[in-house]
Amino acid sequence: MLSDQEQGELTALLAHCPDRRSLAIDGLVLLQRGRGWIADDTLRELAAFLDMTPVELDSIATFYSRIYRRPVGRHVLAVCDSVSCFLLGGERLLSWLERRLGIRAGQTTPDGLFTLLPTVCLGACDRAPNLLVDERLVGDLSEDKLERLLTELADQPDRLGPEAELVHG
Amino acid sequence: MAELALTRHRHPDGTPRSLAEYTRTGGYLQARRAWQQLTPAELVQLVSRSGLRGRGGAGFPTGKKWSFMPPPDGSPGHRYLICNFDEMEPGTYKDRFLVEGDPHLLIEGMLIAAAACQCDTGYIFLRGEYGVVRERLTRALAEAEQAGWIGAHAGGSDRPFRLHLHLSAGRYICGEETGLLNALEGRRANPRAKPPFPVQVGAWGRPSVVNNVETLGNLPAILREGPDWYRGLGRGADAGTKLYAASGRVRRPHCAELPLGITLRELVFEEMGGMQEGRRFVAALPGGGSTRFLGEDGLDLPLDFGSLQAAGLSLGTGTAIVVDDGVCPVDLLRNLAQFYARESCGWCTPCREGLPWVEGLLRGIEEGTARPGDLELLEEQLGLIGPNTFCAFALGAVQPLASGLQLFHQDFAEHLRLGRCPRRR
Amino acid sequence: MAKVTVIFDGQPYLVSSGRNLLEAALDHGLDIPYFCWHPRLRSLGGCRQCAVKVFQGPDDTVGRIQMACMTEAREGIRASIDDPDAVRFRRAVIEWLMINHPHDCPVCDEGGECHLQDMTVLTGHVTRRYGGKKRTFESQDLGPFVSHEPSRCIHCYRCLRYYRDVAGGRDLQVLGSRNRLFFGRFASGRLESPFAGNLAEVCPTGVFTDKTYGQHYVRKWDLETVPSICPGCGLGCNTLPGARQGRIRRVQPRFHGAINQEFLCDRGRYLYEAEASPTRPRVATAGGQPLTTAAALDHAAGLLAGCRQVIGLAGGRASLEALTALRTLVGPAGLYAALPDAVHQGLAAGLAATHEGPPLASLEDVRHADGLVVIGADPTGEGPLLELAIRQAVDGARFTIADRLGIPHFNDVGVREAARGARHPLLVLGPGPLAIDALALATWRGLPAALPALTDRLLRALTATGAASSSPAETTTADEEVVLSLRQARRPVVLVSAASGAATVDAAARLARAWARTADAPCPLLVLVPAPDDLGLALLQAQPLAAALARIDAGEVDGLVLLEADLVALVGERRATELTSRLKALVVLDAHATTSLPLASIVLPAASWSEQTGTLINHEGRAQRFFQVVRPPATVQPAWRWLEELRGRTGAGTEPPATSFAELTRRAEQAVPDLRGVVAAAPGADYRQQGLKLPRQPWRATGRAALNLGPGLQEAPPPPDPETPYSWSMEGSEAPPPPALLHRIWAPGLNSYQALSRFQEEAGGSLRGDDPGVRVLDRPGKPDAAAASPNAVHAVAPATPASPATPAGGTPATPAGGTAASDHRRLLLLPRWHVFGSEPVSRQAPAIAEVVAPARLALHPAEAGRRGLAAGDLVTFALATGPLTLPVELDPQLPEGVGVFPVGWPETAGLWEPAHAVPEGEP
Repeated sequence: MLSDQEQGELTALLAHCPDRRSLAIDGLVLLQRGRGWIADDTLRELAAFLDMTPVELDSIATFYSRIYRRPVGRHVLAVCDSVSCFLLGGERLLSWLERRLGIRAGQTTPDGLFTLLPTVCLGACDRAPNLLVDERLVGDLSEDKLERLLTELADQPDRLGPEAELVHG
Repeated sequence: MAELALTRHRHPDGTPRSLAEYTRTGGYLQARRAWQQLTPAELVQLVSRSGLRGRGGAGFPTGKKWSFMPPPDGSPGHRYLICNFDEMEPGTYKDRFLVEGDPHLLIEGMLIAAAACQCDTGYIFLRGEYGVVRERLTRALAEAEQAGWIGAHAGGSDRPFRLHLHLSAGRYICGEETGLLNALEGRRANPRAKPPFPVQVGAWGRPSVVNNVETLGNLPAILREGPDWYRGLGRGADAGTKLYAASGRVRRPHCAELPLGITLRELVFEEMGGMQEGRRFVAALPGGGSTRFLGEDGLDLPLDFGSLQAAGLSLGTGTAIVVDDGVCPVDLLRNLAQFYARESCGWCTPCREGLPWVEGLLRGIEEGTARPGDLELLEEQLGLIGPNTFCAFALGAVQPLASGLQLFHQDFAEHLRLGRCPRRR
Repeated sequence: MAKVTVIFDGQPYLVSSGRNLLEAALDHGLDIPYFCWHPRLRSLGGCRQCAVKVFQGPDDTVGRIQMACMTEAREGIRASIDDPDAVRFRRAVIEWLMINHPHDCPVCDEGGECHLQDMTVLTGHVTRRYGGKKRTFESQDLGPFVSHEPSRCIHCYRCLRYYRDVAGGRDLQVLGSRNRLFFGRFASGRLESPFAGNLAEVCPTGVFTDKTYGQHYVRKWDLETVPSICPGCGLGCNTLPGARQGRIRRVQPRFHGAINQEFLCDRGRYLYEAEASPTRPRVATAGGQPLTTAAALDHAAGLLAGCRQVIGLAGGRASLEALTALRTLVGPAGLYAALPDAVHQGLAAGLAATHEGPPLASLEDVRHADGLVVIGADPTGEGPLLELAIRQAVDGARFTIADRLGIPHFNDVGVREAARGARHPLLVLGPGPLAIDALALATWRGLPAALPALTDRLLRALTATGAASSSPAETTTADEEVVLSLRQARRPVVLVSAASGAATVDAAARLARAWARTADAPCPLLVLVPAPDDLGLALLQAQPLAAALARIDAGEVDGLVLLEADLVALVGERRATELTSRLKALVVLDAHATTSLPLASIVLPAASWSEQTGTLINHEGRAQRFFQVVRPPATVQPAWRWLEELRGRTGAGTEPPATSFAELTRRAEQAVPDLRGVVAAAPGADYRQQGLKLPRQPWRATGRAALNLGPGLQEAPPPPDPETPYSWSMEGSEAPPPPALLHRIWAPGLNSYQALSRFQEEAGGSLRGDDPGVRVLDRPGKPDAAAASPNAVHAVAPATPASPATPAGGTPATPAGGTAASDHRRLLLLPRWHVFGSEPVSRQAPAIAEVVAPARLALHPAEAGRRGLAAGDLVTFALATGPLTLPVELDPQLPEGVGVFPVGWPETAGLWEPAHAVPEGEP
């Protein structure tokens, strides 16, 4: 069931849209922000709100990289593996993280703390190599810095906003 | 110091300029003029005369694009101005740089474009990963609305211009104009067939014009200083300044507004401070991931539309990706191919099926599992994929790969001779 | 249509203007490979397979690769199919498509008739160079009709575009992106659209295949095929059944430009399985005892000879020839139609109306319509493919917008982008809710009795000259907009169900005539009928059922021949038993097990549609020939033969017993002026091509020759077929037959269904030599009403409107003609036709039986609540036909005061028309 707050926020967004279906992506983004990922039930609830069938909405959900159709950890580490970061060792850092966390890219640690994802260029190539922790960009990465970051994140109970304070950011 | 159109008043530390700061330096005066004093035809003409060309990568003359917008025919529904802020071109961060520091510049630019194109509704299509931009733009939009610049009385006029922020859920193809329109409408961002063109049938089937962030950012200065002033900013035939940037192992990777037409040498060895200690310049993708490689012999080519086009190249986004001697070029091309294979939308066959194959062939050569004939196969594939796809995505993918294959042919030969990457033990 | 000249590889070709280069090539039989283009879906530009070299201007020698399907065939355009660059690129596209395609052709049901196979061979791709792994997907269970194997997918988007844009289905989509595109449902489950079966031909490879076909281990090249007509409703869709070893293995659509195009509904596609039903009567029986054919005939003749007066009661499943034989046996005045009274009267009214116009509409008229009014009909349930035609009509509005913007019609994505779901106006009059409501500009709710008045109100509004003249009391603003929109139509069509009765059909005909005047264009009237030969019945002047029953009740008639009709289903078990008790003899001829068989004095097993040749007349008066697909056992023969041999023994009539169906076709034509021309529905038995018959079997490409060999490896000679132009073997002419005989969609190199374009005037257009069949009711110079034959059906007087005009409420809760207010206890029971279940024979096909829902009484929740009923509760009514007990289901879209029951279920036998009733146990 969509919560009253979710209903309210979705309804407010509708004002910007000529029709309900146009809200599909915004709706997915909105619900994911609150719920972490888009479960089948979430998808069905939103589809009903948008006068869509579940598969119509899933067609959209599965097209976009930042909509998660599987559960994610408390923090999503999206590591850039595109060319500018590659030139500064981005792919190697992704491999290092895989070893460090004991998971493959695309997986979540058993403790539910971290989901590791490769991502395309984050548009912060002046600070390559970089990653996004939830919504927070962390640049100029090294193995040391990542190590410190992981420790710090383990104590961060909430997802990080874009301007979240980080000691090791 | 050269004159600037975009970053004259920018804070050196990149903190955002508030509405008060923005208006103190003449901000929104040009929006007011555009909505209250100039006619749409005058605005289109003015921008045409300025020589402004699209800064998103294709370099289409902005005034000309606007002139294709059909005049309002009284049919019900909106006319849309859409700002393409889906900055997902690899190596590109200029639009983020511009708007993080000066969000109101984009809003005023959009007001001017909206007045010219007689649009009543605007969307900023922002890539979802740009959280900081989102926060700053959200604040700036609220300020601008509060101050009455946008809303029911755009630019202080009696006509409306409502401006919304749309967050993308992430996909490179959203940057393609028609893919963007589909994404904006909450659909899969497959490109659309042209015709009909967006000016005819755009967002929600209505006339729509799509402009890049930097393009729009130039408009206040063009109006303020005049088209001739703007024309004069360019170093060569092309008008204006450009947000140049670089990434890779340069000393001071950053973004800077420079006269259109500086050379790659100036960009890398002066503005960016040269290569990092112990690294040698090998080549660069001058304008983001979808441009052709320039080797050392291209260092003195002016980075403008005309010069590069004459050399069979393109300016792209003007943000150079600099390759040094520490990376394996084959692995580099493999990495580039991986990006395009993963980001293909899946609409048409050559892109959907051809690019993953290309990635696999490059991986095979890099990892030493290539079969005889794979290099020829790779060349053949790149020749077939590029020009024959539904949209320009695959053409962009082929630019760096095909040119890289030429430029680094010795590295490829070495890989195949050794049966492995010479840099790997 | 204006023509332009295009040049392919130096040769000029004349093509219709507005076509693209791919269509132009296909029109002339030139091979350009393609995938995403489809005649109904048009161009997508996604697969990139149809690349050709196009030259700009006369001096261009370099040219540029362009997609043929996205390039308009402009006058003088120069293109090359054979250009080496184009050839190379097309080969590359196939190679890309084959990267992930499994090499499972031997176990794929599409193998041997796969467009992907054909195109792979055509482009010359033979060697696999891709060395990586193939991507795979898990299949879904899509229900009993369609199999799913997404790993074979080549991502042409055809399935999605057909299913969503043509069929209106919303439960199939594309998931994922890049090279991991999955076309399927949200989760396993039956595809909801009743047109899902068409995916088998729409899909160019084996992702979507016919699940029933897949159970039979058979290939296209093993199938014996002849043209047939679907018996599933009154539309007369053309089919192509394929049999092997005496058993039908599948039914495919046979293209008919005026009827079903490339499509069938799932009822029509899958009802073939009932042909193999073990419940079918296969030997003559009397009192449960089997009889030889001769003994049965003697016994039946004896029974009838012992009767004072014998009449015949025939159903619309019977062929024109069987009906004619019965008519001869019992005399013209003794032939009665086993049709519910409302259907019969409605049909009679429709036929009577054609004498002053409007003409009867074809499905093609519907598809081309730019304004439609549906009155008292449920297209989805009564004639499913009509829903598809209505969808195409409504969707046709996109071309108006495309024309305004100069977008070529073939550019499907561009056209749809511009049109934004623009729709031609559709107005639905009836109690609702219907599947087509979602397509409608408006629905005017009205209970059945109010429909004539509601229709007349529309007529007045439509013909009023200006807003002022329409009474403000009658019309709301919303209604006015609907009327204004309908008034724009230049190709209007009115659709009505015969089952809505004479008064409503009369009103519909009045509306059509008036609309034709307003639009200054013909406004054809489509009268939906339930069975494939109901018009045959009507045109042979079969008398109404009520008259037959009255004669039996009066004791005047004591012998009844029941021909392919189910008396129990028609009047209910109680009444049927009562009637039977008054009879000395009830002779039943049927191909299928009906609930009436136990009442019969004798059952004569008749050949079914697949076991005989004959003629059917569809709703538009189009006589069409269907041909024998399989040979029944010797104990089974066509009904006409039973009847003629019976007549030979009883001595009725003057003509000698017919030995071929064709003699009866001729007899029908001679007996009734309205049937003039039916013989010409297809060429007769003496038709020869190159001096040869047409082979039912295709060339032998496999070892099927060894299957039926006798000792010494000798093959039995094929039996003769004196009745049709077809042979029971592979011997015969392979030249393309005339359209009415087109029995195989195959051309050299084109093994898939896409070979169809080879048999069309233009790819996607009418069959070469025009679409088959004879429309008997619109011959030029047809006599007018006064001079018409003394046709009983024409004598039905137009009924006067049942009730004064009642304003149509916009809300379902207050339908026009509401009855609930007058008596709160009474419910108006309304019949509903279902795609699966209302047609009696298809119910017996296993795949269809699987999806037939249990009978329920649907009520508005408030209505149910008022009566203390919840979903699943049983409710009982005492009706004239006997007690009716059904579980309740809730439907908030229904009006209050009504209960909707399904037609054709055993529980609802005898219930065909609206009836008032009070649930038992209520005060």
